[in-house]
Amino acid sequence: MKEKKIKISDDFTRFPSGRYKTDGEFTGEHFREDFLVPYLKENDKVVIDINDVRGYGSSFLEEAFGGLVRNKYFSENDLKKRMTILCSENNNTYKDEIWLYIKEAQNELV
Amino acid sequence: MGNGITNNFFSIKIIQSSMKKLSRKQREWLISRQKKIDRRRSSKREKKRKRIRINRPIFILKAPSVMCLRKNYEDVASFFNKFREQALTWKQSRQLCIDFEPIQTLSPDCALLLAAELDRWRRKRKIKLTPWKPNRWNPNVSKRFKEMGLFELLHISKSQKNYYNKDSRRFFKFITGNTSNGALADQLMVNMMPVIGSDYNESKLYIALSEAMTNVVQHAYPDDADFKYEVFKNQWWMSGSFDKETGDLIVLFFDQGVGIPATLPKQFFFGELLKIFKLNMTIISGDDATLINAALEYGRTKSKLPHRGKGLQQLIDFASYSDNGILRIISGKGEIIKNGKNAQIDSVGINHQRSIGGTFIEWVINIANYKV
Repeated sequence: MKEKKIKISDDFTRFPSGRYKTDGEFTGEHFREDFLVPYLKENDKVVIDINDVRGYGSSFLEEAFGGLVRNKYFSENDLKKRMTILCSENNNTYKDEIWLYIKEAQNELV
Repeated sequence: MGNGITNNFFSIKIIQSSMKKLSRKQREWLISRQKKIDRRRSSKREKKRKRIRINRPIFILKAPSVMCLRKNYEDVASFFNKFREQALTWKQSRQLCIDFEPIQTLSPDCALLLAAELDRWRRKRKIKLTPWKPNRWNPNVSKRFKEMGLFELLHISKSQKNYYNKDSRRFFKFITGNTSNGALADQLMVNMMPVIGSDYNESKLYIALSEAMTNVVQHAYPDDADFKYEVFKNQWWMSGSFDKETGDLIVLFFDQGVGIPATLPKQFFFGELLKIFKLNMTIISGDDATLINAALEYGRTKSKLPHRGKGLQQLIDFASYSDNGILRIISGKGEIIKNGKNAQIDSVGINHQRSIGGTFIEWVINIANYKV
């Protein structure tokens, strides 16, 4: 089984901000299109370490993760099987937020 | 020296090659002479330029003595309106001088607005701003100008003055940008850390600033907007201050965009917002405070639908974790103040006579009372 691990703070940025690529350099759309989508397509499992980042705004998280479902790349069920969010106890709220955005994006599609 | 020597240095070089070689002393004499001639010429040009400048009519705009939006909103807004009118539309043949001598009180909010307007003036006109009688400024005001970074905008030497240090408040240098740039939000927080430490929820402040920047680049400067004065698209400014005596941290954010009340009707959730809050657009048109408040409340009540307008809600979060934390937003002519006490949010709305010329956001928290 092919597994890929991404640590956002090391592989992308410690300062994510913004929704669309036109908003800035390290945005949710950028992370989704250049990291999440290719890695999820090329691997059976993807582990995403969200620790050690300054913070995650809703715009970034919703576009990065909710956008995976909203743009019909993957379904919620598919992501539950193949994507793992790795975080410390302090960052659990972000993990919950990510899965909430994925769920809501799935509900909007139905 | 020989025939044909002219004052032209290149001519000297050509002639030199066809003549006997000049001695070192001769060469040095020629070079020194040429430099003196050049200095005389540039001095004449400079005197001519000065004559032109001196003879140009001067318009002096005096700043109010109380530069504080809370205590003196209308005078301050009027001053900034006149500032923009004169700085951004005046004819090149006239000199504009902003007189800061009358200022006795300078609050952090006005310091940031001043930085933004000076910055725009400098960039629009492509001129070097020079200070008008800085030796007459109130020393406390000079100190704040220096801390804020206005001295660099005004090309004032940092060593020029000694400042009183009796004021317990410390201002942080303004930062500006035109994208949603998390690294710049982090830079402000890094600047503040030696003074305030990290006994507050840093990630909530980071998120608030990140969402504020994202709102600006997405909504504040629409392409089809008709701006009265030239703007620099997506430009924002941020800063802060800390009062050692009270423990109050103030973080500030400003943009020169069209304002929340102008952009709200274009949002996808606007129809739903009107229904939820039972608002009649005909009645509230012009009621900027109600529109701003409705937008914030919509984000709060709809937080379970995260795709829809949650960004504004995250502006509230940072202030709501502090007893007596405050979020203040001035946009267009409307002002709302959200008081977060034990996570209960009360809000006060005011409509002013004049617009602030953009959107201003202020967070006030008390470090001692902050629930990390």
